Amino acid sequence: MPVFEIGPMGAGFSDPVQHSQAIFRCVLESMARPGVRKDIPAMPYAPPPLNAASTAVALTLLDDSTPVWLDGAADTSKVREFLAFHCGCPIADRSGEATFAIVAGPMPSLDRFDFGSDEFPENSTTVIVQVAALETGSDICFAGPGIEDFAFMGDPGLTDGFWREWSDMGALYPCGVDLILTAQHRIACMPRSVRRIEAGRTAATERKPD
Amino acid sequence: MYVAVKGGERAIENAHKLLAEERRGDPATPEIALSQIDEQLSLAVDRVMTEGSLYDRALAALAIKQARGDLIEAIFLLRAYRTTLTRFGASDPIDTAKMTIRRRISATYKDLPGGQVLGPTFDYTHRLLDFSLADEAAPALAAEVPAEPGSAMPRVADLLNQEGLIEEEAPGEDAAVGDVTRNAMTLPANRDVRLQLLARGDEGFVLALGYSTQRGYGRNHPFAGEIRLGEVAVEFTPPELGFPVTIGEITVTECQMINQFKGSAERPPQFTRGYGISFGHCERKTMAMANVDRALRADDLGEEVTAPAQDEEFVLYHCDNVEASGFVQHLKLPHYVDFQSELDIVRRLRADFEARRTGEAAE
Amino acid sequence: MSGVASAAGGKTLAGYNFAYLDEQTKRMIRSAILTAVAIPGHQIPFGSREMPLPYGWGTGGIQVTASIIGADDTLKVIDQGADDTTNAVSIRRFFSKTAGVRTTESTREATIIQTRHRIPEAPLAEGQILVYQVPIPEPLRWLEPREVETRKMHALSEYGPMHVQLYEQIATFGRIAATYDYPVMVHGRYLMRPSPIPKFDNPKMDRNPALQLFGAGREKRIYAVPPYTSVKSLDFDDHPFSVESWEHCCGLCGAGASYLDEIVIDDKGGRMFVCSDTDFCTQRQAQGFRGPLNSEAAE
Ligand SMILES: [Zn+2]
Repeated sequence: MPVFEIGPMGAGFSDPVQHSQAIFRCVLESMARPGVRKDIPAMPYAPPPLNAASTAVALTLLDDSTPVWLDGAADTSKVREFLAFHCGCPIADRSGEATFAIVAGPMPSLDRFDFGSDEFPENSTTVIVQVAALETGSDICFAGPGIEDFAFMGDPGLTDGFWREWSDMGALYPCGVDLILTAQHRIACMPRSVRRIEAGRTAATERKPD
Repeated sequence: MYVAVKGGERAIENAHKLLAEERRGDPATPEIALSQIDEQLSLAVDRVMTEGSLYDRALAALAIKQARGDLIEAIFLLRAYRTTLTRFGASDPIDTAKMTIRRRISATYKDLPGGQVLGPTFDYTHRLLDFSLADEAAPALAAEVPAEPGSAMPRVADLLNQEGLIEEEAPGEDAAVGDVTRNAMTLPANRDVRLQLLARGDEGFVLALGYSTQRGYGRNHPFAGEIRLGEVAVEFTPPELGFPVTIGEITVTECQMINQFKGSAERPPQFTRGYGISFGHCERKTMAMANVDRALRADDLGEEVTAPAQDEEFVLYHCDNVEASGFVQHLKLPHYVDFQSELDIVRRLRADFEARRTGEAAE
Repeated sequence: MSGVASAAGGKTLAGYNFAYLDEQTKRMIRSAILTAVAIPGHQIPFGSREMPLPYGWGTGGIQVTASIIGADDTLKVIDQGADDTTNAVSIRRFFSKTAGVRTTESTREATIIQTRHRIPEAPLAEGQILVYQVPIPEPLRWLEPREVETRKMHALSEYGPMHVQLYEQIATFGRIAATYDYPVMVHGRYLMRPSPIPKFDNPKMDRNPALQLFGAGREKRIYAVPPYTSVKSLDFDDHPFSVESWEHCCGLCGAGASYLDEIVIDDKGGRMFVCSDTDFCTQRQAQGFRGPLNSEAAE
């Protein structure tokens, strides 16, 4: 049997079973209720440039069966070493072949990622995106499954180009990618089913799907 | 006054006690030892290990004892245990050409290098009840110890291969071998996944399907090229070492069926193979498995798919006895909510029917 | 032996990980659940494991529950609406043994409710998770036995044959004869089997504040309905969807709008009707409600 030596790779979860469960439930609740922001418990260490929330999500969801793609900013030796040691996940060379992706720099074009197919829409990339902020506010309005009427949040700092691509991707549903947005120790999710409602449109003009 | 049935918890505990009593039987009879099951019901142990996908004679013997000899229940116990085990890695493929042979027969050649070795087989026994075994102190017969088998015991398929008469079976590309115990099957399944499912598949189901191919339901002309039983080394290559280390030895039965193939636009006429393998000595299972494996290759070989044994989705979705047993027996669970729903609709439909009939009669 | 039971949880089963499943399996199931939530009503294949309970007896629901449950959850398990049916008892015991979690019979107190064949009568709330045990996840299975074909039909939203089947029932019987496992459209996109709940419960799925997760162990599929998601039972303008109804109220608590079990009380045609949801019935009786057959039981 191979024996692993505990190396100086920065601490992971002190109680992996309970911590990964707690963080998974944060992700699950924010995926099930887009717009809801959840604070994850404090992390002992995050390899730069990853924030605490991205690190926690990676420790919770990544393992040797999930190739992960790192954008230019996230692709540091500290991140690679940390992921290799704590998650054992292979690093994908191409974003289109990754089960997960971590974006720490500017958001790349969405179509870089795997959208899945009409028959297997689940074979798509889940992208962990580090954003400037996840605050309350009314800059962004969402509708879709998981949302009673409308959900609002402050501007996470994503570009107009991103929102156009997100809207275009909606036409391909059920194909698409799901996003886990992170800022410091906070997360919020954007499943592919969520639509951004443009400012100025009101509840009266926006019909919910039946 | 009606009182709802309560006390599920107590009822379950009581059922468990009754089961334990039944399992033990008459306390005047000595408790059976795991070593006795392992040694004297060894083929039951082999089957449970094979369909349980776990090579551990002691645990399989324990499962058989706990299951009161119900082998499907024992397979279930072993599988449920196996699934909790941590994986440290995957061993290298075993090399059955290097097997220490205890039995090796071929129906295609009268003699061949290494010879025919009958080994421990029921084949030429007359199936007469041996009343001397009823005596618990039956004397053991010492078999003639065979001369140390020569190292040259090449596989029959490899001999045919020298002439290019049989299809080559090259190791796959770099694509990882599937694992039906970790991932849901997607269709069409590749041969690795099919073979795993058949190896775990219920012996009775696989036997019946293999039999059906011999009766014209997807006929594929099998010859038992070779059946071999013996011990093979299991090797593991730790990534940090980079070379294989032997971690143990297991007993396996392997069957290579040789099947005629008339050729197609892409392939010359040659023999094709059906493959069967099991832990321990499960000869009937490996032969039937080889028949079914070959039948399931119909699509790959451009043959018309007409029979159940050639129907990948049908065979693979129904060959697992732990799944089948669970779902058939789940019919014992309460369904009274659904039944009430059905009662509701049948009563309504009957009322509709009655109303129509009275209406017609009135006209 | 895998993993180590966590000290943070209650007492767990020696030799097994918290909630039985190893962490790698939980991660795989958790990823499947997240994707299922992102594509409401779509069945996600997952590497279902052998559980120590038989296939067909709730292994899908158990694997989902085991993957989401934490030490601070409170679990309720029902079968046929009742907490006390043997299979519900057995599954509840499994989780108190392997995860050491608090269990309850109260719908309101539970954070996770695992169910077979019913949705509780009491409305669910935001933050609660309802886990369904699913025997056959594919709504088109009786129309088309082949997985390869049904997958294509879902990809193309080709659900006409299901409407045709329901319409044929109307042509034959004068009404839709489907009763339980009545097909629904989720978020206007995927046809979904609600598991064998009576159609009485279908309207409760629509825009429910709770998260609904579905696990099919033997068939190796997970699917989900997020909170407030549209779930519509198939019907026709001239034959709108309708649910079961009874001429009786509950004999014990007098409820007139709950799903009733029919109890045979003698061999002369005697019947009585009681709530299938035992917690709902007990709560009502505790509030002083009485059914016609329960006059003296007040003390
Ligand atoms: Zn009642």
